[in-house]
Amino acid sequence: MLFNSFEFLVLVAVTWGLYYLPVIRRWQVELLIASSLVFYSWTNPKLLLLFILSAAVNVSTSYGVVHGPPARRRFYATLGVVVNLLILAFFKYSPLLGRSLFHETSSIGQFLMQVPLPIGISFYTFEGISLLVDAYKGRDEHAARELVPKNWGAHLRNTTFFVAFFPHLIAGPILKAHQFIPQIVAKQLADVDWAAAMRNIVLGYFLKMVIADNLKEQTFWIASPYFETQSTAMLLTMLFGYSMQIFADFAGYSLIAIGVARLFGYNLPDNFNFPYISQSVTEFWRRWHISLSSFLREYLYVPLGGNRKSNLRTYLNLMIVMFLGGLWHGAAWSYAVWGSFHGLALAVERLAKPHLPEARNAWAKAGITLLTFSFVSMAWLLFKLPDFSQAVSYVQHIFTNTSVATNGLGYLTMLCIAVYSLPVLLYHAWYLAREAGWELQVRRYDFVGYGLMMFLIVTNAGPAGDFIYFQF
Amino acid sequence: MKLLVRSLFATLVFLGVYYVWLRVLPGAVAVPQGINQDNVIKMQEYLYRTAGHCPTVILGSSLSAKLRPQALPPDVCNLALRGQSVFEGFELMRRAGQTPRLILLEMNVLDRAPSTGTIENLFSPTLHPLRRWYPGLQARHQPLNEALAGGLAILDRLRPAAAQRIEQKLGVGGPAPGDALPTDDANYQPPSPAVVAAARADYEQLPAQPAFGRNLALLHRYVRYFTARGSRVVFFEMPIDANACQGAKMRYIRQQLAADYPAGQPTYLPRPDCGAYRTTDGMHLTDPSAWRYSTVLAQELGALRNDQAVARTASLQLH
Repeated sequence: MLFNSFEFLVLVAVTWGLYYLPVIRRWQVELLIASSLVFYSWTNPKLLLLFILSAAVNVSTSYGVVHGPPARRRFYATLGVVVNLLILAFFKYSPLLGRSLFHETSSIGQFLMQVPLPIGISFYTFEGISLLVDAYKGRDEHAARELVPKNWGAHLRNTTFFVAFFPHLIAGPILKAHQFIPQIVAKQLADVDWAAAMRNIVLGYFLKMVIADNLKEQTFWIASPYFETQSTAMLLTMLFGYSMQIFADFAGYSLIAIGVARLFGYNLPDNFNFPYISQSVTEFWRRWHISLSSFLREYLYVPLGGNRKSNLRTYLNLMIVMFLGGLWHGAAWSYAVWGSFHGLALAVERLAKPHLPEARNAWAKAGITLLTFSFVSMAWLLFKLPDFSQAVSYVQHIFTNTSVATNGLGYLTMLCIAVYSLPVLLYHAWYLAREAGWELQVRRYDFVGYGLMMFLIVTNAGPAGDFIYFQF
Repeated sequence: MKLLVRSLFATLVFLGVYYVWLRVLPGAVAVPQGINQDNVIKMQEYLYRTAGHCPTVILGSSLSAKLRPQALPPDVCNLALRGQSVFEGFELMRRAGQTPRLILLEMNVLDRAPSTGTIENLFSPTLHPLRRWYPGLQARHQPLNEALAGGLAILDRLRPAAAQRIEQKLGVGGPAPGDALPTDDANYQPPSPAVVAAARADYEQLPAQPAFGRNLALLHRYVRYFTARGSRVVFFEMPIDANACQGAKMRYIRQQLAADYPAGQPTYLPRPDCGAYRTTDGMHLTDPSAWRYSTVLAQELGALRNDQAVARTASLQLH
């Protein structure tokens, strides 16, 4: 079920309408679980089987970690993590392995290539791993028991709810058990932060329906072979537009998720923090898909040794983490290359930082920001064109199509990209202005801005489409 | 809660002001922002405005979407949809309860499966009546489209020649009254050989079975449906690259249609001389060629209306 579908609005309205009724208060979590399962299975009920299997593994192994014999805690934790990774590996990477390791006529290869990708699997398996690791490495016994109560029924309910809660189920933000499970208590209508919920939901839908969906129309021509006939100006503008689109699409989804969760009294972590103002790739990853980068840092980079060992080992760790982070995004080698690019950039930045002067004036900072944005945008090409040779060809055509004239429709496309990118640029500029200490006296009139966004959602939405991160 | 109420109030004010704007100063031309919106605008224009005034309808794909309305008779509605085929147009007319006197069916892209998403959205039980009642919900009247149309209108007053050039380049305008149609391909820039080769390779492939068989069966159902209600269905081909024109796919489609619809009634328009036209990618006509073929089609339509075409199509060539 898509956030931008009529069914979703009905599901939220019905669930919310029941949620705060006094007779339901004892069953709030069960109600949300039921709604989440409807949400997840709406287009393909068979997906529920795998989801329930994954949840069952996490419920039983995490219970074993906390309440099993102390000597077997490590075994249960390892078993749970391995099973989660096996489920993820089988369903997500079988087609890649089938293509890479087997001949196309081989029966094993054909079988692997036909394994379907269940929606949201990358997200809920990571959340399961988070529960197991948090339970195993809990600060103390009390903290672990808070995550995994002795009462089996309560644990089953909490864990199922943690992984299934529909706002984050399909595309995050990726929750950590120690952040979310302590929030599971009875909620009161009076506690709802209406303003925060509305701000997130309206801005999220605006970014998705007005910006991302319209930019998707304009960046369509990035596809192969259409890009081959476009002028250099068009190729660069479309790449810029795709950067704006992917931000608006994913940040929009995250904001809607956060806003809807607020309606039910739950706080999900922020997932984006104005990423395109970053002055380095390191900073970019502190601002982009924060829940994933913090997950990778906490559950992979640090256990690998982080930066506590030699410099060489730190660079290697960065490369490993970003390579795997790239593969997490999609079962194609281009995603691994994308991750490796970022890993390499992180390593180079770390190596070069002590030897470079700090940018002090505004022009130097703007130049570095532009450089970072250009690197990130070039790398997004591997998202849009997962066939690596096509991505390389696109870059080649940027240099070779300098004599190709932009036609009338090309100018219109560039104009539309500029118009639809403007709100994203203003959004980032607004943050920079605040950071610079400019007192913008607009808070009092922010309802006009939200009213305008709602007006544009109604009148200027693009063709409804999937969220880009659903494929991951 | 205060912010929510105030924001909702502001939204209603914006919607009200925009409603008045559209009543007083609607954009003179529709400037589609992209492929999908171009299709939606066409379909909504038909559904909400022109359906009852179109005795002749063209159904097809992006190939026929290149036809220039300014060169065709004013009562012809072009429901050729980019990225789609004849089926969506058929379904639109069926659901709209329309039976035009003459339906021109493009033959080139009959191997593309019908899609349902656009039609379902168009006839959404909630949005369909709302769009009729509040035109601001129609794709043509998106604020950005209105701004573009408004900008062109202002430019038209200040610099009419510049406005006309832009409108022509955007495919939303024609030449000034009295001026010749821009049918000359003198400035033609050939597409890259790789792109043309890809088009030719595509047209050398036979349509995939059993999907094509299903498409033909669906086509028969629609043709039966509309002819039973008094429509006359006529097939035509859009010119494409000369080699692709003789490719295995087009030959196969011609044979299949000839078996089911022998020349006569329904009938075929004479095949275009593909070599006489230029394409941007092996498939889609350049603007001048599109103008040229539109005038040819207009003449054929005139002949058809005089019922002379049937006799001339007896010499339909299959290969």
